[in-house]
Amino acid sequence: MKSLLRFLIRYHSTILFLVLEIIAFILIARFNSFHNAKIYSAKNRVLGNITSMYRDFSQYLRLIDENKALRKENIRLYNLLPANYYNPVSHYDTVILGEKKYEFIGAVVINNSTNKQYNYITINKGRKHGIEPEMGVICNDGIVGVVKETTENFSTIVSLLNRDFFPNAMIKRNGFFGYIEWLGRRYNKVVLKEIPLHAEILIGDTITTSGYSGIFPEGILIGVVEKFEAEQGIFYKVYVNLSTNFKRLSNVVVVNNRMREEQLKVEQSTEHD
Amino acid sequence: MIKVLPRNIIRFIALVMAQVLVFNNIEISGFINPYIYVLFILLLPFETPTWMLLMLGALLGLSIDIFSETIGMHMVATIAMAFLRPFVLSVFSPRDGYETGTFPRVSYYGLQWFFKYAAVLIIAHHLVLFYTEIFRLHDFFATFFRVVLSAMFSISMIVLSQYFIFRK
Repeated sequence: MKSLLRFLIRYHSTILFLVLEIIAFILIARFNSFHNAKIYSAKNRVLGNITSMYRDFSQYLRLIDENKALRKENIRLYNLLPANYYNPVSHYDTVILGEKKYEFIGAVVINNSTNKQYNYITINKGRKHGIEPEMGVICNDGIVGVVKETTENFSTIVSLLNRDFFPNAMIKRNGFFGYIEWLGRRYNKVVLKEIPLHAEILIGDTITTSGYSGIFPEGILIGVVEKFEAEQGIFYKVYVNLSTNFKRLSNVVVVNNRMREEQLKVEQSTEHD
Repeated sequence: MIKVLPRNIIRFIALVMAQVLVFNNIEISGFINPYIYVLFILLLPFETPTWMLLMLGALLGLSIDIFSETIGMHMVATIAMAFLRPFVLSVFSPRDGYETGTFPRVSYYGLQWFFKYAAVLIIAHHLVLFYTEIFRLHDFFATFFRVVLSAMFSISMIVLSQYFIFRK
């Protein structure tokens, strides 16, 4: 007993060091693998004001560019209105529009990072506004990520710049598809994998979402091909320059696929057979 | 001793604020981040007992973690750094030890001493931090590259701060 006590006194700093490190690792395991919504809302209460003030200010500085982008987007949408199409049937009422599959909810980014290995984005809309986990998130320039956790007023998004996120993607010109992986280095570069060697790729080809997983609509821009190389003799490894600038993300759109559940259900029942 | 305590509390708050509000937003070419808040550990008095160093390291790391949403990661790194500090101090100690009433600063022990002392501890801190963040070994050299570049940046910021902000 006496020697145990002497041991404890002698090595008290090493023991304290080990104990503290173990506590720290427990904290990492507890909080970082899945983002605890509680921590988020607590932090938002404390830091919310400072962050949103900072946000407001930096948004103000970008107002001109943001306006330009919105104007362009407005004109594009204007062109898509059914009323603006030539209609062979004389009355507008008789145009048959299919059932609406995708719904869009606008939101503003209030927190974002690009310098970690697992980046997340926080937006100012939540459950109250109809946002649920696993919805896709896009912006005017291309894809952003997928919703991870939601609270009443906020949601966190797994950024495309996250090493655990692998969205489906395809080459727009010929439809060959693979998946996107971020290598954890540059915030504006990703890699498209599993494109077979017989696929024809050109530098400058457009890469878009494939729409297979039902998270994103088909044809949302991801980026353009920078270069490509054969990997292990089976597949191409295609380096893609992202079209979305994650450093100055501000307005995003959350995509709600109203038929996703149905798609998942039929896919699941097929797999179980 | 009475003057030391409030000064360190203010320094703690100021460094955490500076790190969270300013330096966390500085990124050079996408992945080089300066972590200057470790200066708090570097400037603690020589007489600080190891257990207190460790507790302060844990507290400092945790405060940074809470604001940058990386619970535990900075904590692991700062605790390791605090644990190493006494060893580094004894390795670099001058021939007749550290005089009482002095602090580990450029103004007492010179630029060369401070640079060696700061560089070793900062590199140790960054190594632990970046490898804990990525938590796998297959990008070993890419991570090492990040460690080296970020450490160079942090060291230069901290050494410069000794001449401009923390002169006394």
